[in-house]
Amino acid sequence: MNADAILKTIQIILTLEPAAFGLVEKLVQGVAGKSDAEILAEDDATWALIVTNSK
Amino acid sequence: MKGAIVSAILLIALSLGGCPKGAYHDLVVVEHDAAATVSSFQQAEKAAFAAGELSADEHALIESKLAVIAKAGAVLTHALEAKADASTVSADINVVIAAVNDLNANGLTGLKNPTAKAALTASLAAIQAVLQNIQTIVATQKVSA
Repeated sequence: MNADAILKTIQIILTLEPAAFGLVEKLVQGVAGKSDAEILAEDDATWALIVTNSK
Repeated sequence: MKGAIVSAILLIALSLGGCPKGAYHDLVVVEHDAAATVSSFQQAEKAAFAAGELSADEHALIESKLAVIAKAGAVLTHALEAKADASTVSADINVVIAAVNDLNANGLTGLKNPTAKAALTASLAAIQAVLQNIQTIVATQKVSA
């Protein structure tokens, strides 16, 4: 998938589903420039936050 | 439509975020996707409850099942941090999948509000798609985390 096709698809999704587009951005930005150890440490915190927020 | 959107989202996320650093890195990235999608599901659930689309009982049931998923997810994360062997990682993934399936079968199917049910079902489909990716990586690449 080339960059133009990706951008076009993102525009479609942005129109159809703003919340879903936010998820894409979150997934991509969540790992950008981070080491595996940093990603996993962040995920540790995410899981803990989900447990905390479930109460 | 929701399923197609979810599939497109995951494809784009993987194509934009993909980095050829090996199976372990791929597994870490997909595990991260799992944590992010479960977190997004929780935000969607809380928004639906705040909007009055879910009863207090429905809200409590879903959140209790989310806690089970998150605890299982943390075990998986710790296994990856410890570079556990593939069989351990695979077993931990199966626990997460079982918890997600339980949320689907016993937390979402009985929801009374169709709008909330559709939104949360779509969000859960994203989680299941990510978990399927993890299973595929472990199964096909024989990952030794």
